Amino acid sequence: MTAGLAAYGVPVLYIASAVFFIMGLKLMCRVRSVGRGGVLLGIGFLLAVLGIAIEAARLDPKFALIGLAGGVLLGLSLGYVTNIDLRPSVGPLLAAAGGITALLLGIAVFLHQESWPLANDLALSGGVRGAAVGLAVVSGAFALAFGLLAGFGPAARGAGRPAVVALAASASGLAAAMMGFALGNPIVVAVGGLTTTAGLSLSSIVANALGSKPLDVAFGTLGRRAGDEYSDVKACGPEETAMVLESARKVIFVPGYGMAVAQAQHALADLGKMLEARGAKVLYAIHPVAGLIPGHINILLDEAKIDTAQILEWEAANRELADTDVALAVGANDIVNPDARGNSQSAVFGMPFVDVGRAAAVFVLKRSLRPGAAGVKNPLFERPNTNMVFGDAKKVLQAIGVELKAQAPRKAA
Amino acid sequence: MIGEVMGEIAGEMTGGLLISLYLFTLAAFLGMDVIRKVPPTLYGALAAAVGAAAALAVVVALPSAGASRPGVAAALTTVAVMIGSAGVVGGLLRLRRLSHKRGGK
Repeated sequence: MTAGLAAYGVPVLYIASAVFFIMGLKLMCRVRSVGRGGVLLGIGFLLAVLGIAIEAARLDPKFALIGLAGGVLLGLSLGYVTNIDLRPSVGPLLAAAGGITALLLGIAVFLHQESWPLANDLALSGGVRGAAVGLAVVSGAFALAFGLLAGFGPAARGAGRPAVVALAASASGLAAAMMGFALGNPIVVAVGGLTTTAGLSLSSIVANALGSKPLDVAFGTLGRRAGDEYSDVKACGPEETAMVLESARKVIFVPGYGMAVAQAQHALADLGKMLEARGAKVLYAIHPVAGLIPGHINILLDEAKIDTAQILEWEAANRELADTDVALAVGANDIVNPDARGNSQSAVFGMPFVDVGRAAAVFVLKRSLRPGAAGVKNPLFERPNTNMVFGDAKKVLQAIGVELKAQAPRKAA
Repeated sequence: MIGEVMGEIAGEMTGGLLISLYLFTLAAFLGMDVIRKVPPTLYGALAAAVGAAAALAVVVALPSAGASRPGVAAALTTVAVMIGSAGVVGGLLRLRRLSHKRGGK
């Protein structure tokens, strides 16, 4: 009975677990379904642990069970205690745990060839097995290196950290796959191979958003180009903006001079109405000196038939921003510069400003990183929750609208 | 040496190595496709999730890999199981916290 369960039940558990993991990762790519994705990952994890426990219980002595119990406790404490902010931390090192595990396992194998009791039909032997284990050890060492770089290296404080964490995860996945080759365990090969490329793909997406490459982010050679005033600026396109907007419950637009120049008021009003139709609360914040002359933006919003009840002046908007999901600065620069309060050396210090950084996510629609009328740098653009969307305000707003329409309609809450 | 290994690879090609290579190739393409477009607010959470998945894959490999005999190898394997499962649990916890921080539901 027990033998039958282990022979057929355990592989089925692992396959089910892999399916849950793949579906979970897929769902996690959308803000709307990230919660459900997390639940699926959790189920996949529990199924795999069940399989491991069944297998480990057959081993004697029960070191594997002791390790499993200790690891779950260690993981719980590290997962809760480590900070998730951009401060140096051992947290990102958890992504390298798979690689470190493979590294230790590989060393154990080289020390003690007989510690492979459960050979099966698919397991490699001789030199080929040695090569696979060697590759697992090398990949594991890379995972450890990337994990350390993500936790304590130059990228630890910047927006590029997820790129390095993903590299560590990718190297861990490759190490896992190599162990799977050596042991002849198909599910390990499959999940390892999947995470290898998923990690690489994610890493290059993050690095690309920063205008860089994964390795440049990892070693801190980012933003060192001559004459480049900004570093760590993330950029994304209308599609990613729409992916975040689609699940936002409260959105505040901050139109600036650039919106007036691009004559984007109608596109702005259209996007606002589309978001309202999806059930979001939409507000517009007007800075006293936004536009060419005071009152300029009010006239344009009025022309686009935006309800005056949705229009706030800057101080009221700052209060609303605290529980706002997404703030969109449309062609605005100096009026959203946090140096107005935070930096007494800045030319904008003491001026009114819309504190968009209070929102959970900030998108700045702008043609380029050129300074505004005040001629100063805007540290908002370098903040971790800020994303630049470069382009003509009108075209970008219309493109976000097209992408939003392409998303599945939001279910009533 | 190389010729010897190549000979062995040729010998294995009909068995485990071939099946593993099939699987690895297909899974690698699937991995590229699973993560294609990601909104910037989810970068951190997704990176933690991929890390947890990789750690889980290694932990699955462990029971068949050893810890059956006392000694240095068994001790190393036990520590390996511990770090691997810590990576899975801790990674999932961090993923949960990161996705809540970024306004996910």
